[in-house]
Amino acid sequence: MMEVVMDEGGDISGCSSTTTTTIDDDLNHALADWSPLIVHSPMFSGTNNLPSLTETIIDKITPNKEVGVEVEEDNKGLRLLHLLMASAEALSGPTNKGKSNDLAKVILARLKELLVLSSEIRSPTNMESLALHFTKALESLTYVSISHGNTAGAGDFLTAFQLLQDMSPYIKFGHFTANQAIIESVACDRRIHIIDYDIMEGVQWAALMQDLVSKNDGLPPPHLRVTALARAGCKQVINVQETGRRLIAFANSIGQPFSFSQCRLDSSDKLCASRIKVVKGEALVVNIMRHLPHSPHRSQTSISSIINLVASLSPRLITVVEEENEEMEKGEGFISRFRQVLHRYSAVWDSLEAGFPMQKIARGMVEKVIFGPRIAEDVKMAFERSDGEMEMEKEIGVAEKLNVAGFRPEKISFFNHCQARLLVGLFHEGYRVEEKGVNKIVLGWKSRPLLLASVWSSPVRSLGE
Amino acid sequence: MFHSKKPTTMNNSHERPMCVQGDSGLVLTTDPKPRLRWTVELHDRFVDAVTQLGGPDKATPKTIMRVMGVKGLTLYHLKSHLQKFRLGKQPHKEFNENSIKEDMQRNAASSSGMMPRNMNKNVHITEAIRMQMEVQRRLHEQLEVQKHLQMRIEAQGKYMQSILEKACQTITVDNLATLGNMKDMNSQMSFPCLQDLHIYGGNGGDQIDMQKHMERSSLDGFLHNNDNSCDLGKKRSDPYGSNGKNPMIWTDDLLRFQDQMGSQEEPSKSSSHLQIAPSLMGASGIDIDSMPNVYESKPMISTDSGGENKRHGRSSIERPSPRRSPLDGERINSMIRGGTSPQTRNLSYGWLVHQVSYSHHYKLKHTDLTT
Repeated sequence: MMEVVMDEGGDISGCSSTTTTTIDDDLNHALADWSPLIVHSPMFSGTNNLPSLTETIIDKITPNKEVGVEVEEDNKGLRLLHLLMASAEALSGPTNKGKSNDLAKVILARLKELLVLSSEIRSPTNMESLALHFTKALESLTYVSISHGNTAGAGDFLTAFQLLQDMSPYIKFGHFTANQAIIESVACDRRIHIIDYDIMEGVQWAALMQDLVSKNDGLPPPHLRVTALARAGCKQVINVQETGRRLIAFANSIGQPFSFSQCRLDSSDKLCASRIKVVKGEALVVNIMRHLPHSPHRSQTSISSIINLVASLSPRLITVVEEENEEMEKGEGFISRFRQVLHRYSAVWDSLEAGFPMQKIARGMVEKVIFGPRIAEDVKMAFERSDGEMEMEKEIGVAEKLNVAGFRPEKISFFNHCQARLLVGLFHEGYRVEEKGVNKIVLGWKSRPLLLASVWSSPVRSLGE
Repeated sequence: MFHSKKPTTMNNSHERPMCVQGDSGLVLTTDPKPRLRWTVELHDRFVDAVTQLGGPDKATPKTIMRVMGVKGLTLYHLKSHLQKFRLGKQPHKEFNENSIKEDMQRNAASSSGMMPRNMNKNVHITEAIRMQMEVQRRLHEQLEVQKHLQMRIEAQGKYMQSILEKACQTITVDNLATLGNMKDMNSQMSFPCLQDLHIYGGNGGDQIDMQKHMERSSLDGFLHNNDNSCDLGKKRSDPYGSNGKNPMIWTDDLLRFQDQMGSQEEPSKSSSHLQIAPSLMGASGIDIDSMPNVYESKPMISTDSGGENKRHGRSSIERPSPRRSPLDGERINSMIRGGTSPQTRNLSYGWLVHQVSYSHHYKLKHTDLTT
C-alpha cells in the first residue's frame, strides 16, 4: 500500500507569491520540507487504487477555507508546487520501485485543471505561469508522442529576444563581461581572431566592434575575424550565415575591419580542429556562451569538441559564460535535479516579475518563446541524466573542466566588476553580482546564483608579457 | 627612495630643480642622474592608459608603455610609477603642481624650527590628499565604466534594430487591419501567435479580446521608455559630465520623429518602440499616471574606497516608488542633483533604452558620446 507522508511544517502565511525572497534560505528549506514524500512499497501494483490515492494527495494539500485572500494565493502557489513535486516524484526512481507514469499523468492532469480553472477567473499569477511551463515539460516526459516543440516563428523569436534583453540583464551580463575581458587582453594587438562556440544572433560582437572602433589610441581599429561554429543541419547553417551577413553589414556601418567565417560541426556534433584556420600574429580568443536564455541546449559532444580545440590551439584568452547552480545533494536522482531546475526558473520568474509586474503580454511572449523551451529542455535533461540504472554524475561545467585541464585563471579587472554591477543595477536591485574567485563572477537573483562568467588563458603563454 | 627624501625635498622644493624638455616631450631634471618628471599631462595619459587596460591591477608596465606610446618612456619609469599608483600614493613630485602642496611648503618653510611637529601635520594632510585622490581615481574609473557601458548597450541596440528591421520586411502584414494604426505593430509582433498566448483564456483568438490585449500591451510593453526618457530628456540637462548634450538632442528628434510618424499612414520601417509612441502619445484617453514606472532610475554604486569587492553598499538615494507618474520630472531632477552624494550618479535604464531605440536612426557614433 502506498503511503503518502506529508510534512506540513512551517508557517504558511509567511509565504509570498514569489518563490524566492530575501530570506531565501528559509524558504528553500521550507519548500524541501513541504514536498510530499511518497514512499513506495514493493508490493504496489496495479492501478485500481490510483484515483483514490490521488484524491488523498490532493485533499491533503487543499487549503483551509477560512484563511484570507493573500494566504489563499500563497496556498494556491504552494499547491501547484506540491503537485509538481509529486508528479516529479512519481516519475523518478527505477521502474520496478514504484515509478509510475500513470500516477504522474493523473497529477499532471489535475495540475492543468487547476491552472485552467484559475486562469478563467483572472490572468495567471507568476507562480501559475511558471507551473504551466513545468507541467508541460513534465507531460512531455510521460507522453512520448507529445512534443511541445518550439513553434515560434523567426519574427516571434527576435521580438522575444529583444524584449528579453530589455527586461533582464542575463544576456548583456555574459556578453559584456566577456567583451571587457577580451578588450583588455587584446589591447595591443592588431589582429584578433575569435572562435565563437554558439554565435546565435551575433549581438555580442556588435558591442565588441563598437569598442574596437572607439579606442582612442590614435590607431585604426584592429582587424577582427570571427569564426562561428555551425551545427549540422540546413537551418542551423543558414542561421549562422545570416548572422555573419548581419555582422558584416554592421561592421561596415561603423568602419570596423571585419571578416566572418563559419566552421561546421559534423553530424555527430564533433568539431575537427584542423578545419579552423589559424593565422600567426592573430590574438586568438575562444568564446563560449552557454545556457543563456535564448540559446538552445547544445550537446555534450560539441562541448567536448570545443574544449579539445582549446587545448590544441592554446588561445590567448577563453571566455566562458554558463549556468551556475547551487550545490546539489547527491544521489537523489530526478527529484533533486528537478527541484534544482524548478528553483532556478522560479528565481528567473521572480526576477522578471520584480522588474516588470504588469507587462503580461510582453512577458508572456518572452516566457513562451524563450523560457518555455528552456524549461522543457532542462527538465528533459534532468530526467535523462537520472534515468536508468547508472545515474550520471552532475554535469561538470566548462569552467571546471578548464580548471582541471590546467588553464590559468585570468583575473577579472576592477573595470569589469564595476561594469557588471552597474549593468545589473540598471535593471533591478534584486540582481546580485558576486566574485567567486579571481577569474569568476556570478550573476544571481537575490540569493540564487544563475550565471557564471569566467575567464581563462592558456598555460603556455603568459599574459601581459 | 622617494619617501625617505620626503621631508628634505619638501623643504627644498621651493628651489625647483632645473628641468629640460626633451625631444619626446618628456620633462627631465638636470640632476646628475636625469629623472623623469611626471607632469600632469603625462600622468593623465598614464591614467587613461591604465583605465583603458582595465585598471591598475590589470595593467602592466609593458602594456601601458605601448598604449601610451610616449617616446623615451622606459619600463623602469612605468614600473615605479605604476607601483605608486597602485598603492594609491601619488608620487611626491606631483604635489608640486597642486596648490595645496604649496600651502604645505609654506607651512614647512615658516616653521622650520618645529620640523617634527610639522612633519606630522603634513603627513596627515598628505594622507588626506592621497585618499582624496584615490577616491577621485576610483570615481574617474567608474565614470569611464559608465561611458563605455552606455556605448556598448547602444551598439547592441543598434544592431538589434537592424535585425528587427530586416525581419519586419520579410513578415507580411496580418489581417488585423481593423486595429487601425495599431497595425504597425503587426509586422513586429506577428500577431497570429498572440492567439497562442491565450492559453488561459476561455476563447482563444477572439479579435476583440486581442485588440484589448494589444492596447494594453502597447501601453504596458513599449511606451514607458519613451515617456520616461522623453521627460528625462527635457528636464535633465546634464546627467553625466561629458554627455550633457545628448538627452536634449534625442528629445528634439523624438518629437520631430513623432510628428513624422503621426502624419504617415504606413511607416515602412521602424522598430516597434517608435511606432507605438505617436499613436499613444497622441491618444487622449490614456491615463498615464496609471502606468507603472517600470524603468526606474537606479542609483549607481557609490564609491567605497576601502572595498571594491564589497558589493552591497548602495547609496542612500531614495528610489522612486513604482507607481509614481513617469512624468514627474522634478522628482527625477532632484534625485540627480539634490539628493545624491557627489560620488554617485543616477543612470536611468529608461533613458538608455530610449537611446537604444533611436541610435540606429541617428547613426550614433562614439564621438557623440564623449563630447
